[in-house]
Amino acid sequence: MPHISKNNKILSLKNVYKTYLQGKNHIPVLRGITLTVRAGEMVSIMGSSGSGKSTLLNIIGLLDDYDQGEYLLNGTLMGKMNESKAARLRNRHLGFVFQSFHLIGFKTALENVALPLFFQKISRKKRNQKAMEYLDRLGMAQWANHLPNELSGGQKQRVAIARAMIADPSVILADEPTGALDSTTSLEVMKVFKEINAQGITLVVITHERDIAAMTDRIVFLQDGVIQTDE
Amino acid sequence: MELLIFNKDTWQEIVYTIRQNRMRSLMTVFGVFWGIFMLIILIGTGKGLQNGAYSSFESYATNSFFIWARNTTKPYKGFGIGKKFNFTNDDTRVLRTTVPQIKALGPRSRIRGETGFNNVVYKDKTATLTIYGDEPEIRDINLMEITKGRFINRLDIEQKRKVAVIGLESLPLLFTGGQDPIGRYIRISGVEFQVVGVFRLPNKNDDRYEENSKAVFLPLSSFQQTFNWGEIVGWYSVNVKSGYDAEQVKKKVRQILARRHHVAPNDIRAFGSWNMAAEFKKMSDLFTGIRFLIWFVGIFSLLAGIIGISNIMLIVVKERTGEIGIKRALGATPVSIMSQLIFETLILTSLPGYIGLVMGVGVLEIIDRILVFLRTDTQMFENPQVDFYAALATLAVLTLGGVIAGIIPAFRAVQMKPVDALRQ
Repeated sequence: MPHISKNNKILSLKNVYKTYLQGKNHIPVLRGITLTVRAGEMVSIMGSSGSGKSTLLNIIGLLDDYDQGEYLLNGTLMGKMNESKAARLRNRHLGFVFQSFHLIGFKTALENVALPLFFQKISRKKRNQKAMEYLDRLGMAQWANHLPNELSGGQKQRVAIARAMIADPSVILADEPTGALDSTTSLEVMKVFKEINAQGITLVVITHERDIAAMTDRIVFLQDGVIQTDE
Repeated sequence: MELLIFNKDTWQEIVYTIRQNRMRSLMTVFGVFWGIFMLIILIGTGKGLQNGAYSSFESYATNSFFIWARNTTKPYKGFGIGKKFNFTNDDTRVLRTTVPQIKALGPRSRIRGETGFNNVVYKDKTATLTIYGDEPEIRDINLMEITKGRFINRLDIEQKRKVAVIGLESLPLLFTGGQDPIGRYIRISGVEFQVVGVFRLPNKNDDRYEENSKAVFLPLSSFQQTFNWGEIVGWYSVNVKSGYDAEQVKKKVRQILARRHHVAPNDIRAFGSWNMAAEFKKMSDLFTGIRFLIWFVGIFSLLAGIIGISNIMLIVVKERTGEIGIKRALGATPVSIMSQLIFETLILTSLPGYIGLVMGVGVLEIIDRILVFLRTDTQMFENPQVDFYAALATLAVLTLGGVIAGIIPAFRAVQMKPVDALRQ
């Protein structure tokens, strides 16, 4: 696990702008976002749909680029870069959890969890061993050889969380991780996130549910591409 | 680093791709299989036809021609139309000394065995055989095998020896089973000849096999003496040195013979001739054309199969956009996504292609077995086969095609930004 001191700025955005081109119209999505997340923080980003919260997460996750401003990940400027470099950075530093789980249907839970290590070209034996370890931590060991469609929503999300953790990322980004789950399961998943956070991993969670956001240390409220409140 | 081919994930994905739409995959894969299968069958049958056609040339050196005397068709030096003339032993000497392009010159004479007229006798047995008067050189032009004893030699010619070389197939007509013919005397048109050798023709596909295998060879000089031919030579078989054009040499020989026999230099029809080389070239040109056509048709049907695979891969990429997006979010580089897809395409083309190749060769082998089983004396079609290089070329085309077919879908797969791919 990367050792990062509490006061270290792990994510730092300064005046970030992003505009989408739709037909001939430029639609501004982010209009000057300035945000700093310290290592070990658990932050939730809230906002109505169209507020730009997903776009912000995609930019933080190096899945999308931004037009103006600065974004520093762990002190390094993330400017324009090619896809190979972005892929390597995502693989080493970032973990993703999605609303619709995004597990690969024809791979078992174990294979899904091991996938990030596959891209690091770690041997099959080693990565399966580590994947099993993470599944066990999330209480999913006995489901290791099941395909995603044999699992419940909560179980799928646990597998996805194990996958997000396996490469020892410094930040885990979760986009509506409870959006497809019932309230009991949602609470369970959030509990898991809390535990992960307690181990020192920074968490950024997007949600539109107040009670989910309330479980985090800090809530950033986004509206029309600008930060309204940060508490 | 694990190699793609040894990687379980690679194969897992290929199996998944096929399973996702079994019918569709099978049809496309069948396209490549069929393309290769047909190409191999076509190449094999083409080769079989070629072998069949070439085999009728096998009894002769192909760079050779025959020339014989007919009647003049133009008046010349006071002689009218229709003058008869014959080649003579003097012509043989002149041609042998003045035309260096000739490798072997065979002066020949023949008396055909006429049905019902038994011309060869041994004790109480008789046979109707074609009698040839020949010199040793004929063996350089008409290929034959001496199974026992020897062929006619120079001394036989010089000393006008009464010796004979007899066809293996005519032995049973004259000698009762197992009798060694060597040293025995047979009577040809009332004159005794001692058998010194037995010959066999190697090629049963020659249309003259029947006639020529039941024949007797005598030294030309003895033949001329026995049948009162004097100095007359029936015709010439000429083998041209390699590197020279048989047609040019034929012209030169004709000019020399025309001058010696007072035939008008432009009286081409006074001579009859057969250019084996030209006939052979016509045949080989025909087969070059056929081969070109086969590869042309074959490659394009194969191409259709490969394009089908490429198409399917495009659909697969589209269907799996989301999955590709996930992989990229988790750290798959564009290169790794692309190489996986290209490898997948390569397997989808080369595996059925390889099966097509093996099955095509197998079917040709079966056809060959059947042909051997049904063997007849003359064959239009013989030994269909695909040579090693043709098979190698097909495999190369297949592999290259597979890679090319994978390139477009692979590029399509990484064209999208990961965020857009994830949204699907």
